[in-house]
Amino acid sequence: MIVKRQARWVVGCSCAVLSACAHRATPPLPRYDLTKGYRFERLAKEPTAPPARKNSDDVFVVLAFSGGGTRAASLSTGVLYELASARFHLNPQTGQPCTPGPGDPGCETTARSLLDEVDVISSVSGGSFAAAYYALNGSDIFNRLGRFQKDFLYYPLQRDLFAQAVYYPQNWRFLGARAEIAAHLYDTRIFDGATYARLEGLSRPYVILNGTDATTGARFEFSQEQFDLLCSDLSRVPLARGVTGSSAFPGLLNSIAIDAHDRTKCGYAGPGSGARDDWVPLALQDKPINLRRYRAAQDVLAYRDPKRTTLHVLDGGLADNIGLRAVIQALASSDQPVDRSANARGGWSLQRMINDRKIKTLVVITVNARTKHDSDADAHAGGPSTIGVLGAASGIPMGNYSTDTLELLQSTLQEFADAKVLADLRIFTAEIAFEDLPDNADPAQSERHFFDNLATSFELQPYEVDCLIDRGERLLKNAPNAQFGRTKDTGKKTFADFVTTDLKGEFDPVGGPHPAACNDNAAKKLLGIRTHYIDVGVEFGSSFARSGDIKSQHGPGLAVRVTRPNGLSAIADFGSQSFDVRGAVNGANLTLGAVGLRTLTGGLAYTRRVAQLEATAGFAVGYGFGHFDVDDATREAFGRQGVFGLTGDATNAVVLSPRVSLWQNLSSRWALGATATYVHARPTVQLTSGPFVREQTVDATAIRVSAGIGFKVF
Amino acid sequence: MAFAIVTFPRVRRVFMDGAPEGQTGETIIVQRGHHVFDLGDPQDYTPPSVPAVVTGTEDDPTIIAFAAASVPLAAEGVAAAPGPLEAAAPAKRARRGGAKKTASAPRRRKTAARLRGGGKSGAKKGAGTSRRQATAKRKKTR
Repeated sequence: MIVKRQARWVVGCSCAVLSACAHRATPPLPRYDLTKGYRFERLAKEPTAPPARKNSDDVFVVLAFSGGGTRAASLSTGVLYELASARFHLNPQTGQPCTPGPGDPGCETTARSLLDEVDVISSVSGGSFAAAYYALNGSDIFNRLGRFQKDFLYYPLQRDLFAQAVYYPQNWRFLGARAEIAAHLYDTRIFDGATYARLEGLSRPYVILNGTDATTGARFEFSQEQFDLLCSDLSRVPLARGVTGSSAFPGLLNSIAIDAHDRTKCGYAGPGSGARDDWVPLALQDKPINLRRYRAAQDVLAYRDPKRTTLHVLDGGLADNIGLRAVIQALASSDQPVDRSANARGGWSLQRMINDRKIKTLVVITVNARTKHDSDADAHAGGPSTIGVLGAASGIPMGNYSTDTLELLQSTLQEFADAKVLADLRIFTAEIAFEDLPDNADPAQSERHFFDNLATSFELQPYEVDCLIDRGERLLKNAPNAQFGRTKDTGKKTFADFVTTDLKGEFDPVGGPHPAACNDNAAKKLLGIRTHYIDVGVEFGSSFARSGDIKSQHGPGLAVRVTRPNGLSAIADFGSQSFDVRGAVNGANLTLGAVGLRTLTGGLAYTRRVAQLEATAGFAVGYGFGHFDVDDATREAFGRQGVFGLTGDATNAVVLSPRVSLWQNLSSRWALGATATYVHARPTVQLTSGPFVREQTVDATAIRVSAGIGFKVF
Repeated sequence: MAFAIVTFPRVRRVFMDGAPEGQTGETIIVQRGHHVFDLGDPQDYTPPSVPAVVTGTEDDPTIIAFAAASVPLAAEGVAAAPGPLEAAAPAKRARRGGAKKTASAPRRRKTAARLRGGGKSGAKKGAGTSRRQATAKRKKTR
C-alpha cells in the first residue's frame, strides 16, 4: 500500500513537472518609446563598422523566405549567394543605376552588390534561420566553416534536438514545452546567445521573424511594435527565441511562450491605445470598405486584452507559410505607430516610402520551398493513411493560402505598376520555386521530382544541401519577372535581364557548391552519408555451435545500431537465440530440449566508411535471460525411469559478443547488412521433478552469421 | 489602393493618421478607409484636421482641402491637430478655427468646388471629395 502511494506521488509529481509551463520569461518594457528597440526606422541603412556595404532606399530589396526546415534555409542561402554575385553602380544623386564614366560624373565608381541593398527579410519557420543569421552575421553565412553552414545546414540538428530532450535530465522539465529545449539549442549552437539588442546596433536588413498567435491565428511578428502591445521588451529576448517561435511546428515543438505584462505600466500610446494619432479606431469603421484593415485593427486590440498574460506562438507557417503577408501589409498600408513629439514612428510602410518618392526600384523576391511529394494514395481504394490525412489536413490549407498570398502580392504590385503617378517606379518581383526546375519523364532523372520529394526536416544530407544552394542560385538567375502589362515591360524578363539591363550591372562568379546533377540517380550514388544514424535491421542468421553441448540453429533476429560513418559508435542488440542441448539419459544420447537466451547486449564499435560500404568492428557485453523447453523424447526417457512431471529451466548468463559487420547503403534509408558475431555464454540447465534435480552447464558458444536489411530510422 | 490629393496654397508636408505622407498638391496612395489628415506644424491652416473616407481612384482622387489661416491656430489658443477620436466630432473646433463645421459626406461634395479654390470661403469646410465631382460642381455654379 505504501509503495502504491509513493508510486502515485512520483507519477503525479512527474506529470506536474513535465506539463508545467516552464519557459524563459520575457522582460517587461520599461517605457514605451518609438526611439528605442528593434524597429525598421531605427536601423542604419549601412553598417558603421567594416566590412563596408552600400545600401540606399533608391533600390529597395525585400526578401520573403518560406518555411520548410533545412530545405527552405538552404534554398534561401542559394538566393543570397546569387544576390551577392549581382553587382551594379548607382548614382546617389539621382538614385538611378548607372555606368561609371565621363558621361555620368555622379555615378559612383565602386560597384555594390544587390545583396548589400537588401533592406527587409520577412521569414517563416526554416527560412527564419537563414534570415536571422544573415541579419546578425552578414556574409559569414557563406562561410563553409561558419556556424550557419557547419552547425545548421550541414548538421543533423533534428537528431541533436531529440538527444537534448531525451539524454539530458536537466531538460526533462521542459518536455511539456519542448520548444524551450529547441530555443536553448539554437541559442548556443547557432546564434551564440545574441539578443535583439545586438541586431539594434547593426544595419539593414531588418528581419521580421513571423510566428502565429495560437489563440487568434493572427500573424505574430518578432518586432518591438508587436511587443509594445504587450508591454514587453524585445531587446532582451534571444534571437533564437524568435527563430524558435517562427519554426515551432505544432506537435513537434509545441509553442513558445511570450509573457505579456501589465498594459498600463509601460505608458503605451501606440495603436489601440486611444491616444492621439491612433489609426485603430478609424480602421474599425472600415469593415464595409476594407476588411483587411478592419481585421488588422482587431488583431491589435486582441493583443491589448489584459487577460492575455502569456501568449503562445506557433510556427509562422500556420498564418502565412511564405512570409509575404508582412510585405503585402507594408505595401498596402501606412498604418504605423507615431509619436509626433519625438518625431518618430514605428513599423515600416513601403506605401509611405513610395509616396515620399524614396524608392526608385523595388525588388520583391519570394523564396518558396514548397514541395509536392509523390503519393500513391489514389492508386488504391483505401485512400491515405491516418498520418497521411493529418499531413494533408495541415499541408493543403497552407499551400492554398500561400497561392492566394502570392496572387495578392501580384495584384498589389500590379496596382503600383498601373498607377500613372508612379510611372518611374521600377518593379521586379519573382517567386523562386521548385516547379520552375527542369522536369523529365523519367522521375529518376528529373530535378523537379528530386526537390519535390525532399523531406521537411532539420536534417538533410550534404549532397541535398549543396543541390538546394546551387539550384537556388540558378532559379533566381532565371526567374521571370511578373508581367505587369506596362508598355515598357513587355516581354519576358528574367532576373539576369533585370540586373544587366535595368540595373546596368553584371554577375560575378557565384560562390558555393555546384553539383552537376541533382536528381534521384545522382543521389543514389551519393546519399546515405549521414553523420549519425540509427539502423534497425531484420536479419536471418545461422548459429554454428562451437561445442558439443548445443546444436547449430537458424532463425530470424533483430539488430539495432547507433553509429557514425567514421568513428566510434554504440551498438545494441536485442536478440533471442535458441540451441538444442544434447545429453545422455539411460545411456542414450538425445536432445534434452532447447535452451533459449533472450540476450540484451551493448557495446562499442568502430565504423569505417568507404563510398557506400561501411565496415564495423566492435565488442558487446550483455546478459542472456535463460529458459529451457524440455523435449518430449526426454520426458518419455525420464518417464521410463519413473520420473514424471519433468520441468526445465536455465540460469541467466553473461554474454560476450565480439563482432564484425558490413553494410552496403542502397539509399539514404536502406542498407544491406551482413554480420558475424562470436557469442559466448554458459548457462546452467536444470531438469526438475519433485526431489529429482539434474543440472548441466551448457557451453552455448557459437558463431552467428546473419544477413538482412537495415532501415535508418534517423 | 485608393488615391487622394491634399490641397493647400503652399507646398507642405502632409500628415495622414499622424505620420508624414507625401506633400500637398501631389497624388498620394492611400489605403482605402477612414483617415485623418493634417499638415503638421506650424498650424497655420484650417481646419486643424480633416477626417475623410478615402476611396478615390487615380482618375478621380479624393480631395482633402486645407486653407491658410490668417493667424496660426495655436496662437489663438486652439489645441493642436486632434487625434482621430477627437476628429470624430470636429464641429466645435472647426467653428473656433473659422470654419462652420466639417461637412458630412454629401455636404462635403456640395462644397467641394469652393474647397478646391483654397480661398477664404473654401477654408470654411474641409472635406474629402473627388476632383471630378468638384470640377462638375464648379462648372454648374458658374
